[in-house]
Amino acid sequence: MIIKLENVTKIYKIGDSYIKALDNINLEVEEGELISIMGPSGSGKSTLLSIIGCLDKPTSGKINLFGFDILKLSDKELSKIRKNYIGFIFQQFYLFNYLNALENVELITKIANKKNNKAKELLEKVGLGNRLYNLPNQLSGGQQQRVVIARALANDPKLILADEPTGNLDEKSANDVIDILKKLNKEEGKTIAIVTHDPRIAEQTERIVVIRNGKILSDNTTVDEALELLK
Amino acid sequence: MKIDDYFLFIYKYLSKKKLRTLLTSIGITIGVATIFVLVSLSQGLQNYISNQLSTLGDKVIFIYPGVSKGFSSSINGFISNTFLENIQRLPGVQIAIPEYLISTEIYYNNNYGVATVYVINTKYINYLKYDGYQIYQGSLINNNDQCQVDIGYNIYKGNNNPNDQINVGDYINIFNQRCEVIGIFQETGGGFNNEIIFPEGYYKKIFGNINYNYLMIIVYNYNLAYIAINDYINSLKGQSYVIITAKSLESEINSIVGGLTIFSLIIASVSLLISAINILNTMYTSVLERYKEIGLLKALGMDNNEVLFLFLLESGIIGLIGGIFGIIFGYIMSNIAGFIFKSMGFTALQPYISIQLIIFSLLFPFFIGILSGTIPAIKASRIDPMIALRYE
Ligand SMILES: Nc1ncnc2c1ncn2[C@@H]1O[C@H](COP(=O)(O)OP(=O)(O)OP(=O)(O)O)[C@@H](O)[C@H]1O
Ligand SMILES: [Mg+2]
Repeated sequence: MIIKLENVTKIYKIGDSYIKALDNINLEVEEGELISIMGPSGSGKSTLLSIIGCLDKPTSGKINLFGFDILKLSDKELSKIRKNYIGFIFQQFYLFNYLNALENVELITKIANKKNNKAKELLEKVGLGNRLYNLPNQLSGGQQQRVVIARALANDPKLILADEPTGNLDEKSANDVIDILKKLNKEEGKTIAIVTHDPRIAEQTERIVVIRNGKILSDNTTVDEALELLK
Repeated sequence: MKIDDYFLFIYKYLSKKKLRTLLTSIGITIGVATIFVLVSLSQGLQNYISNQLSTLGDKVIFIYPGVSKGFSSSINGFISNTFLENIQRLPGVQIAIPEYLISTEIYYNNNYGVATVYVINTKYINYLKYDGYQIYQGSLINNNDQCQVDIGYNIYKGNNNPNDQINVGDYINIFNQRCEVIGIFQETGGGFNNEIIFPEGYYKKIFGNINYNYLMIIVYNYNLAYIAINDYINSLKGQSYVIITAKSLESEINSIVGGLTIFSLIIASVSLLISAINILNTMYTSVLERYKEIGLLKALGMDNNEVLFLFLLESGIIGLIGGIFGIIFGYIMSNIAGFIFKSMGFTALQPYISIQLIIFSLLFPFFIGILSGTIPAIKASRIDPMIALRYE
């Protein structure tokens, strides 16, 4: 078991009002799974991902990641978990615009104080072997997102969390990105969770989790069932 | 991250923001350059004067009647025969040479100026070398009863007007007498260049008698003589005397130069304070602009302390950049100033650049940078990594 959430609830407080972004979530993910999380806007998908990614803490519940009882860890230990176990891919490409593709990927290895630098190799793997020294603004959106993927892989994480990784991409680039993620899952056994609106992407994953109003409506549905639920 | 990785990351960011970085650090540059110029010139002056004074060494002590009021003491009274004889008899004293010191007008080539005249018996003339006098042209006066003089370098130069230059063999008018210039002294530091040495015998011929007011004492044991002279003078009632030695002059000059240095440091510190506020402002803006970026750094695994360190280092480096430019400009300007002073005749005002000054000019701005970056850096370190996931 790589992810285990038990009765996880997240409540945001804005002024005097409270928003229940996650409502009693129970979720288990095995190592090597490729899952997608679907849900309407505001349903809590990003919140769920940020809690799994140790970026945020739940209001209540229990979380076990990679065998660690996450809620017992300090901020410093959480940042260690993030850099050593998790690769993040965001909807926005989030590259440092003053670093070139290679430097953006290398930065992660440096933050983790790791010696083995496979940044070049990774960029080649995502098809950017000839764009190593381009700054982000000299790359297309799809290329930038592939740099982000290479970066997410730089520390050889067990788990990859992608929050609408294709949201800002055209169809062709979106397919490239999904293909890369699928390949990583198949060939390297990475556990991958993708948040998406797009049924064509969800369709390609083994397991679809549907959430709405912070609750899991259904786990392991087909795309058609999911779309039905989300109507 | 390793330290060189921090530097690289900061370098990449700052070189993207060259203009802003330079504008931010310009205050530091001005402050450091100001410090650099003032300190290097006053240190240069100090060194020059100490060098000059060291030619006096431990061989000479001067006494004159009067009261010392810091640096502006003036002669007031005369030296009696008894006083002279008593000094002469003190232990450690080789010889006490009486002189008459007066400021008077001199005329030459239709020009006029004011000189400090030392009236001295030519039999003592060779002792002048202990006072740092060295002949540049001609010779020392040698006939006590003739109207002949040695003149200081500035008088020879005629205040830097080539037409007014006075050469050996020329005549100047002093005490209403036409006197031949037979020697010119080498240039010295500390304003000793406006002097004239005048023979005592001829002075007596003009005025009938002479009232000595200055004593040049050659000693063979400095400490012994100094203590004895001091004790003797303190035992006297009525007339008070001022004792001048190379050491006392040096400490007096050092305290004045030191005061100047402190004054310049205060002025420069004010400008550095203003630039500190400037850095604070830029770092604050930078943290706000890079809010998401910082969130991303944390999402990617940087912890609070590492982010804090990153931003402290960045603002320290902005200060350091200002310091480096300050050193460059300060170096150029102090040399230009030295050149100008030299061409104006102030050879004493030459910059002296010590390694301490350079280290100070690097470290001080670096710490100012760190200090002014502290609040923004703390703010940066507290940014929630969640920020990285949210978009506006
Ligand atoms: N930091 C926060 N403070 C207050 N409320 C928040 C915060 N983050 C999220 N929320 C609220 O929590 C709920 C879930 O938000 P979340 O971002 O997880 O939705 P989402 O499913 O990712 O939506 P989208 O598809 O639009 O990205 C929303 O109602 C949102 O307004
Ligand atoms: Mg979202």
